[in-house]
Amino acid sequence: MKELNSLKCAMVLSLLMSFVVVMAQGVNDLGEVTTTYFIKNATVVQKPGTSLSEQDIIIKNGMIAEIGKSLSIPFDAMVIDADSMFVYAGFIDGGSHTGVKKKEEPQQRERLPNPGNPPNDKAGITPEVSALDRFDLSDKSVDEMRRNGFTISHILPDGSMLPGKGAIVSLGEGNYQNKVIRKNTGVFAQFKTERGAFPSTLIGVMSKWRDLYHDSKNASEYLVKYNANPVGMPRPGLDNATEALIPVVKKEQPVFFKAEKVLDVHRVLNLHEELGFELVLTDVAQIFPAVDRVAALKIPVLLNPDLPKEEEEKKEKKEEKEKKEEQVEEKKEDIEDKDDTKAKKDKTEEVKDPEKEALLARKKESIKSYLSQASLLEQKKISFAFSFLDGKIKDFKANIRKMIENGLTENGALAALTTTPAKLMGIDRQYGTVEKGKMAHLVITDKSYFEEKSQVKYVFVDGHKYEIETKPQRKIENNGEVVNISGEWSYEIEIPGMTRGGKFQMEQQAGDVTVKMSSQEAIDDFLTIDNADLYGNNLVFTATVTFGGNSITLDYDIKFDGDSFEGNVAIGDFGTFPVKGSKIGEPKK
Amino acid sequence: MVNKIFSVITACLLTIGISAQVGDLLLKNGTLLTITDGVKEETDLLIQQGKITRIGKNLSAPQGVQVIDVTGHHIMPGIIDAHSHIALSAINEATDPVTADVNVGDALNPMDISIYRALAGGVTSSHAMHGSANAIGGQCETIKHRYGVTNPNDLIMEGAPRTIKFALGENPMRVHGEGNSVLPRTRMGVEQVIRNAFGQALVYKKDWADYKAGIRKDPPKHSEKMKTMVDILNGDIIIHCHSYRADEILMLINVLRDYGVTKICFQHVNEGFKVAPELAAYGAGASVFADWWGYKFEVYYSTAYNAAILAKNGVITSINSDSGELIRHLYHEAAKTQRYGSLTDDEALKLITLNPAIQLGIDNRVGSLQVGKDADIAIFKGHPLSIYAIPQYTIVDGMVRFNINEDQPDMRIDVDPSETIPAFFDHTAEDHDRCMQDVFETLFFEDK
Repeated sequence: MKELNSLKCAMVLSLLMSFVVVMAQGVNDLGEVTTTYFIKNATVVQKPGTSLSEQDIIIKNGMIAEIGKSLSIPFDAMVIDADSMFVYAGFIDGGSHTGVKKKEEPQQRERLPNPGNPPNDKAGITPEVSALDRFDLSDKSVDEMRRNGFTISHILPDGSMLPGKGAIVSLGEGNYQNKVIRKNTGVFAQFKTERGAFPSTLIGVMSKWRDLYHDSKNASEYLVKYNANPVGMPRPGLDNATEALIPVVKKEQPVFFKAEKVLDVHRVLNLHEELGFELVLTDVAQIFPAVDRVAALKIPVLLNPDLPKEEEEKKEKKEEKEKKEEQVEEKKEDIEDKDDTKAKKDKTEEVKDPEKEALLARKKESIKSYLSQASLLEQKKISFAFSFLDGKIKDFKANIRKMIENGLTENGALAALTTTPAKLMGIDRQYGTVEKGKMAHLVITDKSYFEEKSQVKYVFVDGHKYEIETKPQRKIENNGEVVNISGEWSYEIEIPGMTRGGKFQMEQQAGDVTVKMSSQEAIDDFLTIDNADLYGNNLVFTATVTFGGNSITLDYDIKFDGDSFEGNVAIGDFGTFPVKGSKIGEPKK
Repeated sequence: MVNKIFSVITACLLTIGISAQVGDLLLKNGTLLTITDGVKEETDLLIQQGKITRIGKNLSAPQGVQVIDVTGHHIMPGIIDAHSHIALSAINEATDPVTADVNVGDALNPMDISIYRALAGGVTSSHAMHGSANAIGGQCETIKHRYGVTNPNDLIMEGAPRTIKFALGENPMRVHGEGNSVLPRTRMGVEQVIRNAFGQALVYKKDWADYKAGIRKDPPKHSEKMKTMVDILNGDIIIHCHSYRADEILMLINVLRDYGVTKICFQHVNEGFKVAPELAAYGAGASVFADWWGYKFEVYYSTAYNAAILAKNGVITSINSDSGELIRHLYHEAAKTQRYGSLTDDEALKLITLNPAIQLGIDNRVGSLQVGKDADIAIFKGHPLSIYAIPQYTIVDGMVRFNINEDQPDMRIDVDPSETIPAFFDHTAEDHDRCMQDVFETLFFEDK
């Protein structure tokens, strides 16, 4: 929809905002009715590879009190009928900025008097900072993680070269202090730099690491001598960074080093081998060419779960399909008129650009390497979990399914979500499996989590229940009658105090629907949407529009009845509003 | 089918990355341009474990050794480029006039397609250099073009001496003086920056000596920068200095003489012909362009006779590329000295083989066809100094890394899974020198 008139957009947004605020004030905070729960008759996947059917679980005081068959229901328990449902340990995120406020960028860059030797904080070197300093449990990212089954996050501070130390938090609600599972998990490091100060490049960061590390090492040795007998010795007088890195030098805290691509991985491994710190490769998007080195050094990995898209392939398939159809037609005609065969054949033979084909083949090969990367890590026995610094939690489920389609075992996937990160973070005695005595961190899904269209129904965090609203499974509701929605439609969205509208152009071919959408500001400027699904007369699609640089998603869910439709549209985080419309034109041929 | 071929290639490339990267070969019946021992017609050359083990007539291949018939082809030592910025992910740390601590060896990119293009021009080794933004730039890395590896460490020429980039004149003045309002703003300032750095290095050396001797109780602050400067003073690092004007070349010689530093090779040296005897007397090398000048004020007083004049005056001289494009035809660049300066074949070829090897301190390993040296070899159809020369094979450590007849059209190692096809190829990166990469932000986009 291009960039819309920004003034109008600002008005829309502010209206939506005020609406949301009014809604929020109506919420009553009464606390929970009970903290005892009885999960009845579920399939319990205690840990990767151990699955028990028809089990009951009793949750009490935030912990798993009992697991077994046909347990008796405690008098104060709320019963959750989990027939045919699956219970897993709450997922653990290996590293993310969940609930962590972004570091504010100064509006105007400060000009440093000596850019070659800046103070540490101007160079992005603040290992003394804790992610908890800027943590907010009420941030919507916390809720988003929880909806996706994550009950524990390893939060990392935002910043550049050395933003600070991580912490492990339980993704509940309320006061964050009693949600902290571990402080100072390790130092977060990146190749990202501040502008206009040393270090500003990769080579600068590598060099700065050596200086910082050796200084901390020397300081740590000096402190031992000084503390034993300070007589005649100058006061140590360490700066913040030197002091904060001493646990790293002593191997008491690892470095969570963000290494996006394979060259970064090698560079970080070089530093690790040279300096000797404990290392966790973090938010790695490409590691497959380096797996043997990573395996030999026994370095744990936090994978960025995002995967490259296979759009081209889709297109190809479509082309292939069309080609096949053509061939079928051709055969029919063959029978009718045999003499004409040769001419027809020449006509249908596609002219392919061999160079383009070769490039496409290589691209496909490359994508495949990314898709099967998790499986490769599993085969090489590299312990890995997932981190969400660059990756999107929204796409996680789809991506982990792709990894499984490309060779990752379901047990391997579950381990990466539960037992492996628990062990890596040193919290595996209380978290990561569904066992008696462990903290009640659970994910309950309507079918096996790894099945397509499985949905998270409940999440338990420290024994508190979160019921996850799910979209109803769609079925063909009008007795399988096929509707045709092709044509031009007008639409109106009812937002309190205002109405917004525009046009749709629908193009339906068999089950595939392409939607084009315009808005009242630019009525003939159409945005093409290719994610529409038609279930009987029910059309669902998501449009992403940009308002002055921010993108917002519009989730449409509408039902057609003859020449009109009605339904709802969810606009970003602002809420869901009714939408209706009618047909104004036949499809253009 | 195409898929299959590529997965085989990928698999091969991966295996190369893990296993030893040396090979065995017998080159049969070629014309050897040995550089140190004349031209040998119809001669064979045997390579074992990546080394040249025999040169002679009618050699027979030991069992399992692949034979390449090179009848009618010219065989020369692999070309060496003493000044290049290919295979690097970062070139300038332009925040400080002295960055002796940084090392481009930390930023090697073995998947850079420029390496393959260099191989296609017979170049087997290059000197991956820091840029020229700083008076004392970063440390450089001598690499072998083992294209196909994915681990950056596998590019490093193991055992090659350490080198460092210095830069005189306009670049450091512009970046730091004009850009950041710190020393140096003038050529005098550049000299002072270098003298200060050596002076501080002497203090650093003493501080640590005192600490080790127990005279000082607390450890001095660790400084990779000062450590590197001390190593230069100790003669452990060869300086490669970006320079154009005769006066500043003599200036640096004077500074180095004061601090007892002798290992120096000047880069670009467009006015080198004016001070050739002085360079020769100090034992300084000169690595020049064949005929490239006029791209900024300090580079106007230049001549295509520069290389010949320097060489005839006894200066160890080489011709370099400083470019991902020129590196593909350094043999042309060397041939220009026959037109401008009437150098002999051997003298001209030395400019791109043995001489750059001497300047990088690797002449005991590469730079000529001699038994015992690394099997880094370029094979041409036609004489390499002829305009009709076409590289056929390029061999690094006995492994064929370029084969004009058998290589795939697409030799990229790392394919971006989100690239758009047909891919747009940006030529600008190759057409310009990268000496000042990463510094433009400092120069043009800062609020002054």
